[in-house]
Amino acid sequence: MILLLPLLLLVRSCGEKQSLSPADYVRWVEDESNGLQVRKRIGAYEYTLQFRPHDYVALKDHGPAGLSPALMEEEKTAMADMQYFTLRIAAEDHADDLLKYDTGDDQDYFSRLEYFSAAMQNDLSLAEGKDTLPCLLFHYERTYGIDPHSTFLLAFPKSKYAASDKRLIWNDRVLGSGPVHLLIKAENLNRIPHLTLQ
Amino acid sequence: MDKRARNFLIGALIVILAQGSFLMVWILGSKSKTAYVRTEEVYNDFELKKELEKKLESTRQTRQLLLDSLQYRMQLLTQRFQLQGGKPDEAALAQYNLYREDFFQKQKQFEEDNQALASQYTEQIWKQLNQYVKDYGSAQGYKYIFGAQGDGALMYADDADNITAEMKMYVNNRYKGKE
Repeated sequence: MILLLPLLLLVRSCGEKQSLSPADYVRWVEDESNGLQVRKRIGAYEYTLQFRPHDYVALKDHGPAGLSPALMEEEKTAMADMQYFTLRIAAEDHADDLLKYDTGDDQDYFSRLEYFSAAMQNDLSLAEGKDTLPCLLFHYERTYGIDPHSTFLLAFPKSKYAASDKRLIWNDRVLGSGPVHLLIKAENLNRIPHLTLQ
Repeated sequence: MDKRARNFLIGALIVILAQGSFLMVWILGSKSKTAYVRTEEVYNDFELKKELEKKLESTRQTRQLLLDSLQYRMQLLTQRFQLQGGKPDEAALAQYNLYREDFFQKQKQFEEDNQALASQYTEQIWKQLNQYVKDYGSAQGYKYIFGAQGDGALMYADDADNITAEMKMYVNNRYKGKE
């Protein structure tokens, strides 16, 4: 029994989630090795998907100083029905706006802009368990060449298969990649630490 | 030989053997790692290829249905002409010519669109497949991965170097984001 005790404690500690300060929590979520950020290259394009837990969204919106436990609860209640992601796309060796990469003329540029601004939302879905969820909130963040990444803020309804992998599917119509699948594994979602507010 | 000298010799021998083994492992390890895949098999079993093939077939069928209905419209008019004794009035003839023109125009347009869509899909499939093969090679430390297509480009390869099965699994997992 005495020999089994350390083993039991070890197993228990493995199952327990970490508690992190706001700065460490943000770092943990953005650390690729923790699996909430996944990356894929197809040809000249690199796709990065970041899953954004509710605590993380609230922290990013208000900053750690402006977020009291009461406000955090309020924010989390407001977000409860949705799940949030950021999709970033960049082109290899291209420091300018993605809109200008490999576009033949002005018409190509404007049709890509039009697609990124609105139509792209219809080509995005989230597969979770047996559900295929539509993209309900979509925002294209234009940076006018300051950032070579094109950033898309996405939100999908919450699924009843919350314990499953989350696979983002984008049926690309403008970059020539075809369907792009990016997967956030359930095992990584289950490891998300607790946030401790001061 | 005294005991000290004998111990020294044994020690030196052990050091030389260890260095030799290390050198051997290093030489073998740094030797170019190569393998080959049966390209057609990998391509045909690629999930994206299967998905886009279905999508293309469904688009083709939808277009064909539309063409069939345009053709049927022409046939109905032809039957009416026959009932009228094969002497249609000018207005009916003009209508028939309009339908005929519409049909051939659509047929030509659909043929071109189907071809364009097929080559667009093929390009997308190869783009992703090439990327995943590259990812696999890089992750597994291959210097070369050859593609055997049965056209004589690769004349002989040892079966032991055939990684087609592993590659098929990898590219499909990579496509679905699992790897």
